[in-house]
Amino acid sequence: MNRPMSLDLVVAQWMADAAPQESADQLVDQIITATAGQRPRSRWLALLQEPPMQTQNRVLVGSPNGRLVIVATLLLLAALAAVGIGAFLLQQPKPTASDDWPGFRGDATHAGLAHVGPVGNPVVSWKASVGAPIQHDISILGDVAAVGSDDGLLTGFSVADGTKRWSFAATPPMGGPVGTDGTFYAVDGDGVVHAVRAIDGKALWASTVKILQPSDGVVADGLLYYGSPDGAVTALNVKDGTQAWRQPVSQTAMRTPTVDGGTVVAVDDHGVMTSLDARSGAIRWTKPTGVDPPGTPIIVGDTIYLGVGSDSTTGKLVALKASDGTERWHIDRLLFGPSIFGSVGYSGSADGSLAAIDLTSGTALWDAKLPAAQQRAPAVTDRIVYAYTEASHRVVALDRATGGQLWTFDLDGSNQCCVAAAKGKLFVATDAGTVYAIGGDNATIAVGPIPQAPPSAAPTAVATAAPLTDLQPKLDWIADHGPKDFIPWSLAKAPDGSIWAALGLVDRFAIFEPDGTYRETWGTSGKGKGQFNMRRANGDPYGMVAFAKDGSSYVLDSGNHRVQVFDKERTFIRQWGTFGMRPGQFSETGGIVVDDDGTVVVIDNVRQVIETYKPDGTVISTIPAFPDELHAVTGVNRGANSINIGPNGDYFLSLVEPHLVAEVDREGKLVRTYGGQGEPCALTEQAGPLAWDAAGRMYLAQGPERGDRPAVLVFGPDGSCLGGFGKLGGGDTDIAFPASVIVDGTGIYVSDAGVPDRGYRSAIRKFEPLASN
Amino acid sequence: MQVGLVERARSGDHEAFSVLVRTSVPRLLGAATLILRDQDRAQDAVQEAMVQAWRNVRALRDLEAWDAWLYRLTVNACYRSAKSARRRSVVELHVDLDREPVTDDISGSIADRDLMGRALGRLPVDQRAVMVLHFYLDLPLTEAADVLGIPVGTAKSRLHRGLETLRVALGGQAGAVLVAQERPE
Repeated sequence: MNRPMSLDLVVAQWMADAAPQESADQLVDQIITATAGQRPRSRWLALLQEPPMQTQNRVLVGSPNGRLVIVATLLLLAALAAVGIGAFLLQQPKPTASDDWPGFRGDATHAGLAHVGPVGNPVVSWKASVGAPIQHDISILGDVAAVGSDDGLLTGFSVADGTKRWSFAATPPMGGPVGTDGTFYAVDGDGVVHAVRAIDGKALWASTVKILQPSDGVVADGLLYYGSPDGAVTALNVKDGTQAWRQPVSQTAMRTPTVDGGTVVAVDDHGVMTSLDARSGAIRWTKPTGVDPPGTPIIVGDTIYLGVGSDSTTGKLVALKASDGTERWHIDRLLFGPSIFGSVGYSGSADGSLAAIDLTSGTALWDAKLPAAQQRAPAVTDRIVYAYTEASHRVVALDRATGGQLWTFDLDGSNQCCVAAAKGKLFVATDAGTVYAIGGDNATIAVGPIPQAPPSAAPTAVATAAPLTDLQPKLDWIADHGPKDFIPWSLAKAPDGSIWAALGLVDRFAIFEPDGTYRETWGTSGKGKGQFNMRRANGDPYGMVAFAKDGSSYVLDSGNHRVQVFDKERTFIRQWGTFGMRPGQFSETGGIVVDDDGTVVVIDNVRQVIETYKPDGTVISTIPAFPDELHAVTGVNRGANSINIGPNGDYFLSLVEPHLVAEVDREGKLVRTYGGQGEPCALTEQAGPLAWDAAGRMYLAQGPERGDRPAVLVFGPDGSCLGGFGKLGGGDTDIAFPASVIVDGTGIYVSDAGVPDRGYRSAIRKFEPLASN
Repeated sequence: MQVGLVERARSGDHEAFSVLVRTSVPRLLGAATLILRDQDRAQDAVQEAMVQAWRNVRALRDLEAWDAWLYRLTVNACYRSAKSARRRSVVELHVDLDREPVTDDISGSIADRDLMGRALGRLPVDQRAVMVLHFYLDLPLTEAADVLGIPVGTAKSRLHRGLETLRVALGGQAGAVLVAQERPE
């Protein structure tokens, strides 16, 4: 019905029509980002600042003028009181000013302190997938949570609801971001640092300086800091990515620096700590700490705390004076660097403990036993300690005051870095590519008892393992010629008898004659045909070659997520594979082998499959590599270091953790395990590659942190323990880091990646065959 | 629900504030655009208002006054923007409107939507503000007056004058149809 309209209705209708109808999302983002870096004014200041707003009988906002004098008086008193307590407060760690979580272990001090985490029972606020493993930290800025993933993406999610806001792509893998002032910074696989705007993912700059395989980044006062494997600490300007300074401080790799009050503290792989001027990079002091290998330093006030690295079997937690590195106290336990609230630190431990330590005296206040040794740095609020333990991929919340358990929450994969707490949520990412935002229902929940689960893997196994029969075979030859940067990893023997050593750190193969004479080097770095990227996402040089009987070679080009096929003249024939989770794609390859019938077999640790292919790359079968049955036996699963095919045709997987070899049949069912704790041939390090001789004996390598155990364990055809050989050392027959072993009728070949900073050489050794009985 | 979010925001919970921003900004932007007649400046005004709201959120004594306070902050930001625009502006063109036949049903006289826009644009900003609060944000005049910090009588007066000006601009006779009808409380 068309009725006459009064003017006010016409105006109302016109206004409704004329007001903007389009989305205000961009403005909303701008406001959220603009306010994220600020804190609300304190109440008294806000009341003073904001003009009063009143109804006829009530004051809704602000303070009426009549109260100003009183407020001013109170202010004066408060200011006097503030001066009195100022010095005390300066010594206390503070959460980031805006409830952001800039990156690894929170802010640049790495104290792991958060404003507000989830309270009450855990509730999945949201869960998102990026389709590739996430191995680094999460950064929270305003309403955006950013993660880097192995496919080279930096992805921003809405903190509120997990909506994907944007993604930024660069060379894989993408490292963990660190953020400040509305910008995320992350390093790609080429070592280029990218600055990406938080609100929309816009690329702001890419550094011309490359920092290959850097530590986690840290940002403070306009500079970005990274440690690097070449022993340097580098600072970049956040405004444009230019290098502010670079300071070589060590002969070994530098771990993540920590920054506070104009000082950068960085520690190398052997625990030598260096203090530098944050603006200029000038070295102030350098001191060994006795923590080897170390974790990340934490600075609070005038004290630096340094715990052991996650891979440590020895070490201690030390407290040092920031001014000169002098030790204040230490605790002879395998404690990781603490997250700190007030004067109490919360340290995970390699023995499975999570301990509350009084940092003024070094005494333990409570000691919770979590069900696995591997932990990540906890996040702490005024009420709750949030930790991650590798058992069941579990997040644990403990009452900060008592250590009593509040709740646990199991994830879909392994957390490789740490947890982040901000905005009332706990953020955790997994190597399955999932990001969890765990909120709380705000319920009041009872504090349970302090967890007392026994640790699942005792690092003292080295000391308790019984001595083995020394089978040391006679050395035939030793080869360490070839290129100057010769560090051999995987070995393969070609049908023509030549020995191929994958130099995974430089994407080449060094080829030796059967008598150990160096012949040549082949390959270059790159993505083209005949070029290789042998590093997998975590930087391990896992590229390798496997030969078919006709002399054709299958190169597992792990960093390029493909298999390249060459004929015996090394002419490129074909390739298959791209990054992905589907059959025929690769996400995180652990090994390749060619079966007697020419079938190519590859294990993928992220897809968690063993996949077989025809020589042309057609997928034949895909079976689970780590069946549930295996999980039940091992408790944890961090993938495999290698795969081989046993004399019986079964697949043998060398597991990262626990230290085991798993035999899996062609249906994917677990047959048995080898080298478990308590067995005579117990592994004391990660299981490495393995091989068999004609008598059916299995030769199994293990790495350099094996203690006094042999480098190569030898099992009988029935799985019995026969003994081992290769003691840790720098002698001709010693073996430091056996990266590969192959066996044939002529002898036993072992590649030794060495441990250069301990004086253990990199070499290939050939030993004579073991006696047949 | 909103009261809970406001309470959390007041305690420094930026996430709660972010939710409030998402729900509030569209209507604030509508109001600011109608007051300023310029969407870019309206966005600036709303952003300024929201940043001020976050900074001073602890000044909020009555949690239920959140919306009203945001309106006040936004209108004040619009006033500041309009003031600075006046300083910058050079000449405001005056256009003689084509007069339409006078009828009681003035809806027929604004077939051209632009006519109303231009007419509103020539109103003083304080009159536009009252009209936007009342007609667009549906505030009773008593609440509009609280938001603006003016007596109710002043609000009524501004509204009346604004409507009369509009009526003339749109071709009606002053006082011929209606005085402003106050919306239900």
